[in-house]
Amino acid sequence: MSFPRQLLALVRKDLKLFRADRRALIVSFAVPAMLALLFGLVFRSTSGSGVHIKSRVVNLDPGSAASLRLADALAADPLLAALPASRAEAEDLLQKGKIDVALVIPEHFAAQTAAASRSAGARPTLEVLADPTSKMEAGIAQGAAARAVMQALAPELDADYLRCASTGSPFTAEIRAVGAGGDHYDGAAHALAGMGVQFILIGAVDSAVGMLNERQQGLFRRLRAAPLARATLITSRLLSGAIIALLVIVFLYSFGSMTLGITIKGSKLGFGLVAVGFALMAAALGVLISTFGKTPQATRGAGVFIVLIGTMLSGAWFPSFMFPSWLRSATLFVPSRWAVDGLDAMTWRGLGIDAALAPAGVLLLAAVIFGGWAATRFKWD
Amino acid sequence: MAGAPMQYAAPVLLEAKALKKRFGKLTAVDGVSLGVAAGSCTGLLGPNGAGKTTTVSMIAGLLVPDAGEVLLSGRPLRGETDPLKRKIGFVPQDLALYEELAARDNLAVFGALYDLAPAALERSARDALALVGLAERAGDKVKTYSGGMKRRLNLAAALLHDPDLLILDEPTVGVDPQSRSAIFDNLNLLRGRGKGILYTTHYMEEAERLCDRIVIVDHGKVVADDSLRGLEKLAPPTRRMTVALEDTTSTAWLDELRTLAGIEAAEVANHSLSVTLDDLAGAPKVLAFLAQRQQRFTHFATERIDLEGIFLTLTGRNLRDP
Repeated sequence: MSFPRQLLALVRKDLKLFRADRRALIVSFAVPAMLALLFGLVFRSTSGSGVHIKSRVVNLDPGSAASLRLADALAADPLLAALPASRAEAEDLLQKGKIDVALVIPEHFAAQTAAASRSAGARPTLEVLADPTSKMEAGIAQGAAARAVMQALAPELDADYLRCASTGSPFTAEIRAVGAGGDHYDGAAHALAGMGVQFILIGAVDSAVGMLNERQQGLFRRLRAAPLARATLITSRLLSGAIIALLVIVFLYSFGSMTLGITIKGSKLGFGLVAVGFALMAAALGVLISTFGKTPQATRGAGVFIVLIGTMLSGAWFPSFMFPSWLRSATLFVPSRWAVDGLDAMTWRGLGIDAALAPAGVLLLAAVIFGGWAATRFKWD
Repeated sequence: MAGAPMQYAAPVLLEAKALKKRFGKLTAVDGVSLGVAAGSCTGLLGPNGAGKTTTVSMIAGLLVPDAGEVLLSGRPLRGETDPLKRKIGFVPQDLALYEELAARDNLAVFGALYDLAPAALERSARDALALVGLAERAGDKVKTYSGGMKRRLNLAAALLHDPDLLILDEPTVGVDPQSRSAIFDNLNLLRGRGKGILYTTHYMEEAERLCDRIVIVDHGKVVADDSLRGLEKLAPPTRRMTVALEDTTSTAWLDELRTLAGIEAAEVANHSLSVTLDDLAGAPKVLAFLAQRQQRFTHFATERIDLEGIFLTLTGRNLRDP
């Protein structure tokens, strides 16, 4: 008899509790909306005209008007927008991971291509130098370059060749990986860096929740009753958090070395600098998050959300090539991106310590900013 | 309503003068003054929300007063790192302990905050654990302790640096009678060693048992400040007596008792006769009446005013139900 009334009362109770739980509201509505927005931006850009491959064109055939037209065509291509560069400049940028591809127009390319179209010579080769992490971009660039060659060199090609669709290409386009660590992109090393960064940041959120729990339990009241400066307390949290993060990094890379053969091919000192910078940044971020949190529960939800977004933007989940160009630029302001790049540079890219200085510097700067901000916001009660 | 300034035989450890604290529009503490001398216990008594915790927070340096001052051994407390804080041992109302650490490790953390050297800290921790009866469980994680044991460890953590003044903010909340009694024994022992104690509570019996002087606060103001004897004088004398009767099957004599001179009311309930007199001097007359009527009794008592009654008298409110 009372079943409908009981049912109604219980349902109403659940809805009221849900409405009263701000964290549940955020997790249920705001988080999926934000993630859908970000993923939508990423994947819509890859399916539309927003894709941009960071590229350079190296013209070793500057005496040829046709090759000049080809270089101009590659520069005008909306996908490539290839800026001119020397081969040395292009290889340097590739080794540092600053660009995805470099298209090299070899000497006598236009003349040899025209001759090959008349079966009067061997086919020349257009080189597509690629960052080892940018295999997908290299493939797309290879196709775009082939189209540009056929359009730019059409006046020089044999008319019969152009009419005959079954004839093979009068040139070849070869992809070659360029990187100090070899031409082999080590996805496992990249994944290790990405997952390490992600879980250390989640650990930082846990540390923030721990601080809030301590405050809620009255431990801060006891600490404050002692002659203890807040700077000492904050510094202690920074150091303990950084030590834990470093231990995680050491463990992960030791584990990765034993199971996946991942090694530090570049500077070990540089690796250490990046690791220390990231550990301090993560610890400072944890303390900062704790100063914004009201309750441990709400802070955990918001903190994990921030970490997931930060990890996604760091390129740990999918290649940053898939981001729209504005988002790729924006990720430069995401410290975790520098951490992943720095760890990549010191492991599979095999770069020297100079490549570690910028990531380590950015991470240390972020640590100082986060730590200073946390110090100004910190409240005992 | 506060009593005259207290004269202390022993050195004054703490003087809080006209403390005030506001939180937004709420005045939590409004001109509270109190003192604690060496070897004495001052009770800060009041209902929940009266301003006790805010007052001790200002005294312990956890909150900065909006007005007034706190003097420790005659010197004001300045800043969060003032070495003067070493004179204070603070026992917060919350169980401020790291549950995942052993008791010994907890004390190592809290002792280090007072810059105790390792050897001194180890000795202090051992003594403090022995005092509160936890020496045998020193290596166990706090989360395995009972509520009473945690309360005792909460007290031990405040003793490591041998403070002159102990501030205890409702330290027996949720404690079983045995642990409560053990804490009282510890506090009496410490007072005997010359420690001054400031004890906040809303349990009247605790203040009666422990404190030489009692400060009653309500709505952030001191409504009384005196010894228990002095406070008893503030309330009108009680005029009630109770008699435990052996047999109450027949109470036909009750109407006759009510007609006696000096008897204002008389009731029997649960084998107990309760009589209100116009003067307690009339109590023997009641006992004589009962003897004449062959009413045997096992016990009789005249009521004594307690702090609950004093608080009710002073504020018109019940201490336990603000």
